[in-house]
Amino acid sequence: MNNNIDEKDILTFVDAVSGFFFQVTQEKVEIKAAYLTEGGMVPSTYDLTSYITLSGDYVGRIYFSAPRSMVAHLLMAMGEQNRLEDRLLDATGEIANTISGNARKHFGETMEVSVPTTQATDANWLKSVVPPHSYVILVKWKQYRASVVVDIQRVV
Amino acid sequence: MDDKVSIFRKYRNILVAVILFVTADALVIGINFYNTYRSDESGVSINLSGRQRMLSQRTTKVLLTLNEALNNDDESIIKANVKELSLAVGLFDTTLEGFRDGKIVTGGDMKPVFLVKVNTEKSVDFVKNTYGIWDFYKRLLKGLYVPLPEGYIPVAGGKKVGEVTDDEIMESVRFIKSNPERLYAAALYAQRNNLKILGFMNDLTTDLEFVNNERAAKLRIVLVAGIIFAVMNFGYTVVVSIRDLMKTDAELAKARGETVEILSTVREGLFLLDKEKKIGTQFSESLPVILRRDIQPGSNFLTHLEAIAPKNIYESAVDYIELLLGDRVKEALVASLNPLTNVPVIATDVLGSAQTRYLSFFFNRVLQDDVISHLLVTVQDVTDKVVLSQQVEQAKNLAKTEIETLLRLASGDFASLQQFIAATGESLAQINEKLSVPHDDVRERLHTLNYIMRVVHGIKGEAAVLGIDVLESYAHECEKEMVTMRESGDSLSGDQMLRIAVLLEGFYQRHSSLAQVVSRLGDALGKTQPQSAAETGASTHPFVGHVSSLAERIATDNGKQIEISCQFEKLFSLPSHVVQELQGISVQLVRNAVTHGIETPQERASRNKPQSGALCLWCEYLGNGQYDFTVRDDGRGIVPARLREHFVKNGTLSASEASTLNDNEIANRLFMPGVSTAQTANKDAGHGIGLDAVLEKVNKMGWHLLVKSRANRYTEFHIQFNTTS
Amino acid sequence: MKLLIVDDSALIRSRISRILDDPRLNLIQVAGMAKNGMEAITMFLQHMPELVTMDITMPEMDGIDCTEKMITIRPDCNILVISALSDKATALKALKKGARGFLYKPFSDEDLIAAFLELTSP
Repeated sequence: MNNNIDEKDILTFVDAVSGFFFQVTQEKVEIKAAYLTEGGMVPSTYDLTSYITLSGDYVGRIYFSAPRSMVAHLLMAMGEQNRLEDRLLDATGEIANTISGNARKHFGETMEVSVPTTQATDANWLKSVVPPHSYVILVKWKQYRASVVVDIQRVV
Repeated sequence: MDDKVSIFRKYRNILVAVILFVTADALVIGINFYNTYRSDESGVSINLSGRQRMLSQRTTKVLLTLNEALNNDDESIIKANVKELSLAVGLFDTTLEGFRDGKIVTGGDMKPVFLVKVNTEKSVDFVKNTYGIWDFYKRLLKGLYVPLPEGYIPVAGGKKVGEVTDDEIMESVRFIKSNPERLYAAALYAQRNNLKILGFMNDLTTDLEFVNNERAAKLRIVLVAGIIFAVMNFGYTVVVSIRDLMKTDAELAKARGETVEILSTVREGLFLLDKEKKIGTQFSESLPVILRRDIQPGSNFLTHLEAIAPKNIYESAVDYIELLLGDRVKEALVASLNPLTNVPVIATDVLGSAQTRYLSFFFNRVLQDDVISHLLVTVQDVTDKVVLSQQVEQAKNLAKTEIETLLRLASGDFASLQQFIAATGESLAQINEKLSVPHDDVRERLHTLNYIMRVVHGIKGEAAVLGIDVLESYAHECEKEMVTMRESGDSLSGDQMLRIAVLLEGFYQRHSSLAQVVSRLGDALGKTQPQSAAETGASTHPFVGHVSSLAERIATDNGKQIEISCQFEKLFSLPSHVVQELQGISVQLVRNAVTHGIETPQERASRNKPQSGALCLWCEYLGNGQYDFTVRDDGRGIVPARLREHFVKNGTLSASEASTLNDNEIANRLFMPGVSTAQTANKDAGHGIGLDAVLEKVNKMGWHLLVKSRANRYTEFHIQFNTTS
Repeated sequence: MKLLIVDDSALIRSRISRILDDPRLNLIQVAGMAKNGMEAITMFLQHMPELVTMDITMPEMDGIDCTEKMITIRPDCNILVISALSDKATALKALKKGARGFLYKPFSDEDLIAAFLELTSP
């Protein structure tokens, strides 16, 4: 009632991630679980995390967190030889960028989206930043697991 | 406004000018005509006064000729001259009378003509002077000529002057021959006075000509004046008309300008609708914008309406417009029936996505000469207003929910409510935990889905008991959706798990607002601690009331009649978490008993049972810390043959499977997920969630479930537990 | 002017006749009250009233058929439909049969007085 976000909105973000991986490897990302951060159920953070900040009619953040091995695999699939830390961060940020593009397309031009912030993160990082009532979507690509955390609210 | 009056005013100046023009022309023509007539008269006078001179000369000449002929005794010449003298004297005398008195005389062509009597002072004198000579002259001439009869007036076809017989001539010849001195005297008088007569007649002619010239001059003046007046009048008419026309044009242009300005600035769609339902030539610029359609002047309004409005509203609108265009109904008395208020219209925006807007059309009759000629139509986009009122409605409902809750609280059942809120919070957390576990395949997802459905079903039952409609109906919505998901079976996807998370979020929101309300009101009421029966002093356990009203409601909804009896005294001595579990379980069992067990009154009557089914719940202490909680109905009973048939029919089992299972195995099927025996799904039963939830709870608590039943007699569910263990 | 009140609710019938006591409506006299369509037609033939208030949902001939019959009998009759119908299409049907106007139930005294004044104005 106070949060008019439905699964179609959330899927926009997940589809962005999925689309990115599919483009590179013809292999889609699978949703393994979807739940809420209610009661401190914030997932462990993977090694690399990128997020965008939304403002306008909707406010909040979308996080994408993945293990280094997954991003490295992605780089390899892209034919990238250099797999040093900054390249890995770049690739993670690129995924957040795709999320941002999809979001703008889905929610309209009134939605303002920041440039992605990407960083190496420890396991408890998300716990310290994600509020309750956010959505956690656990995804799987090849043998890797990653998470998309959606924390947005509609401003009425 | 009266058009006739305004038209008269508008053309008054021109009308006056036209009337003046016609009058003046008639006057000029009249004067002209009169003068021409008078001019003819003058012509006659002038001619005849000229003839008098000639006649006077002739008379003189004839007298001298006669005198000479008498001397020569030439009788034939005498006779000819007597005739000539008769003509000359007759003409002269009658013409002179005409000048004096005004009368018909013989004209120049010997035809009768009216001679006007002279009227100027001079002319009257001339005539008078002539008579001074002529009277004596005529006496001298007497007998010398043939006189005209007394009072002679020439008429057409009658006797003419100078028409004399030979006898009359001969009489004068004889008189002359016998009285030669008379001829001599007359001739002498003629010689002496002829010039005088000529002079008078000359003067008369001159005077008559003068008068005539004067009149002609006057006529010219009148004609010139008339022409001048006509020209002026024409000029005036032209100037006035042009001025009026220009003024009218300016007013029209101004009015048109104002109309255009109004139509271009007004926010509403405005247009006139004629009897053929066509849109007028002018309409406001907002109209196409509001209707989101290309509007052509003269296009049919109904065609536009049909394209945007829902069919039933469109059809009513056709009737309504027809009625307003007719003169049967009173406009003020049908306004409330306008079907075109807050009409939802589907339109695509610039991005091509469909959106619903709301439009209101208002119709006003336009009368011309008291006859309905058009409808003035106003169109407004009322989307914002409608959306706002919908939001207000929503807020009202929310407030209603809060008040509902408040009333529950005021009814004194605060403890159950607090327990329910706590338990529901825990259930939701359990669901979330299940969801957070990665699911690798459809089987795992189905498993989780079944689990969640059981939990949600439990919440629904408890919310129903407490009358918390907001959670009960939401749980029902969720259940319906999850049933659909479960039916999709093998294709249950990760996306759908996300949908469940969204549903869970909705649950959390409702739960949290309820918890807030309860906590706020609890604070206000000072009821922060659950109360025990001892404290309230109640001898009946509060659950009796809850379960009774729930059972009654379900019975009413399903067209059944029940009588419920409860024995719950033992519940007071049980720990609250045990009571809570028992309540949750019994809600489901009561639901099953009323929907599946107890028959309809007709069915019961046909089996010689009382119309009301008996539903009994009790809790017994068996000793040694052992309790038995029972729910019993006197309905159809659990009949394996019937179940077998049912499971085959709804596809749960194949015919061969059904036949290989024994009665116990068939009955056990009732406790598996997704089984229901109700014909149609509603809030109370039919989703096949129920007994599996009961069994799960019983197992979780380490209790036992025992079922006893006899066909068409009864069904009993016993829950047995030990509080000491 | 004579008025025939047609309504299956005794409450509404008495309410309408009570409102007619208003001095602004002193030209209107109640000629009869009918509780269904059949009764209404009988009374209509008997009194030939100029004014009729007509309910729509009634037992034994509804207001729409009743309106149609009355208009056939007396085309200049002024019929005011008074109904609680939320369905505008049905109300419009009655108007198509020749009724002059429509008033929603529930109505206030002033609503009804205004409707009568409008109905009796030329």
